[in-house]
Amino acid sequence: MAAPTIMKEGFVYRGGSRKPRNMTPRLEKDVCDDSGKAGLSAYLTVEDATDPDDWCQKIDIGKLVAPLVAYLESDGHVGIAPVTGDGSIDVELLTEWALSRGNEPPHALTNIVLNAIVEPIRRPP
Amino acid sequence: MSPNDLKPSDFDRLDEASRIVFEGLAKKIQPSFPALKAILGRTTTETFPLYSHITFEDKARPEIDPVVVGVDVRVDSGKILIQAHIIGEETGAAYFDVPNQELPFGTDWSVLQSHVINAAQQLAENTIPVLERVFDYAKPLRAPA
Repeated sequence: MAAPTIMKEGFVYRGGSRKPRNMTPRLEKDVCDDSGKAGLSAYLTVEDATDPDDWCQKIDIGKLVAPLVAYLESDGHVGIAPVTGDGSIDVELLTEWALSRGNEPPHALTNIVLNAIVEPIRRPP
Repeated sequence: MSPNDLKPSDFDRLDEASRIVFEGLAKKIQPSFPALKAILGRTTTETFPLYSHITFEDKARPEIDPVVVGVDVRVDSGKILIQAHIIGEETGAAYFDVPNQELPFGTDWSVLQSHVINAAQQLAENTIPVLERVFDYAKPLRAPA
């Protein structure tokens, strides 16, 4: 399988609401050092992001700022995660981010993702 | 209002108006759904100045996606857009929608406020059936015949 690649532009989709908690990774399933798998999950297509007739959020990759990057896997899954200077997953920061899930105010990385959302999308039935 | 002069404080006031409706909803629901926790919130971003919401979740049943009841107000293409939905927090499951509303710039403040309150009220009036369906509380919590 091809190695994940860093997206520089384009759009990805994440199912669910525009609440901060939904734009923050989970500690138990999203924290690892595997680029592409690590971080907040999103998808290249609406169809992969959500079921028919349901809602997802359109994220502009060009609006993500460091240290967040979007790693694209060959199957269309995208992992949005913080990286270190050499491009490897910053597991310590990713863990800190995940631990903030549900907290108010949201973590700075959550705010980066929220500000990169450009449109709520409802998948056609 | 003249074109595009909605200020952050205006969105604060709209959030307060929605919040009053949602607080009333939480009080109404609590006796029938004692296990549900209601969480009031607001999300503001660079593109979306106001997403006012209340979330219902059962902490003891984390496998059930929380239900978000929310009103979204934003400015786009020369209009003020109001969207209001009841959806699943992570699944995006669409449970109920208020028809989208578009108001022109220059709409009187009281008209805008009443549209937002009306949207929140429509959501509130349709929340209980959604909660019954999602959390399956209808049968155990109803009094025996």
